[in-house]
Amino acid sequence: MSSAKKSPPILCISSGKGGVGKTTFAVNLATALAAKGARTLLIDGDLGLGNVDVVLGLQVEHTIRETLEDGRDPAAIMVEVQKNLFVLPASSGVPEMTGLRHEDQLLLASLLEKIIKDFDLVLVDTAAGIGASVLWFNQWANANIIIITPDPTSLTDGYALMKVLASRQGKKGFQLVVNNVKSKAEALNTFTNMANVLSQFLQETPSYLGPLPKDTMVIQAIRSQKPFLLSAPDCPASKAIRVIANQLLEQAGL
Amino acid sequence: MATLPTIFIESTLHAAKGHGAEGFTLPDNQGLLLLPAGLAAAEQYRLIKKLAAGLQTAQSPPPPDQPAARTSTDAAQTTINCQVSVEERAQLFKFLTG
Repeated sequence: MSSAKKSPPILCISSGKGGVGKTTFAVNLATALAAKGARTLLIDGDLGLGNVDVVLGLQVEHTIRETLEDGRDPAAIMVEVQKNLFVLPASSGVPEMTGLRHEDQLLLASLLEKIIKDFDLVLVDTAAGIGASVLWFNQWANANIIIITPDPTSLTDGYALMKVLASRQGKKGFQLVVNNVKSKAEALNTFTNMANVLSQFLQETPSYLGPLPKDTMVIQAIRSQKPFLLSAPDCPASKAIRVIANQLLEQAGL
Repeated sequence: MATLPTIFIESTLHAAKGHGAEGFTLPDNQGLLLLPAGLAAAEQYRLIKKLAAGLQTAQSPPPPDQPAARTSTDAAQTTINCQVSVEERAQLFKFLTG
């Protein structure tokens, strides 16, 4: 697969609620896309509490913070994790980074636009919540992937995020992933209900990317700071991630 | 173009010189800032941002519990109420108990 010269698809991964598996999904999806030959950039959009480097077991010296504060070239802070997979890491423990101000949004956009042209796909793993950086990354992206679980808090927060994005930013075509499910039926039931509520109140029709099953291999992989796609390539979660990756590659025409 | 107190113009232009820029005072409390041609875009932006931050502080410091800068987009967004209603929640949870 050759490197694209125009801007690639930007897929923003958000959830509203924290702790639903957003970063784990983003890291493993990026790993799957890269393994299939797509040159992939994973941006840690949780600018004040970045975790992508932690999940991947990386030791990073520079982050997006230096790009915004010191004008450092983002290409110089990118980390090559494996063939076709690059990460743009975020800082951790920097509350000032969470409220992305308008001038920082402009600077970040102009700097990112320069580097993303070397990639086939760009993924953004945002922070939880509906803060400024979450809304901006979702606005910047071409596609919005929302992770939900069958828990009431996740349903509420995921819906609230989509409501804000739809009402204030005119976003449409949300793509849902239902994580941490016992069965495909539970995932489909959760998606269908959410889709009905989105249709009823927001006149929005989301699409279903698929389920991610509860899987003990996921927990083990997180603790060993490796993608489960690599440590347990045949586990149910890995298979589910590959199915989603294939769909996204097809959407992107790759 | 901003019209500001002379003392602020002078201090801003003085600060700009420290970054390799040239500043000139103009009539009517205005100033002209010339950035070096070789200055990288990111560096230009940093300098202007720094000066703009000083400008904001000099004009009207924001209350400590409010964001220092609100964009027009932010302002527009605050007019749309997105609070999840009781009815929406009931529908979201319906399948869990059904």
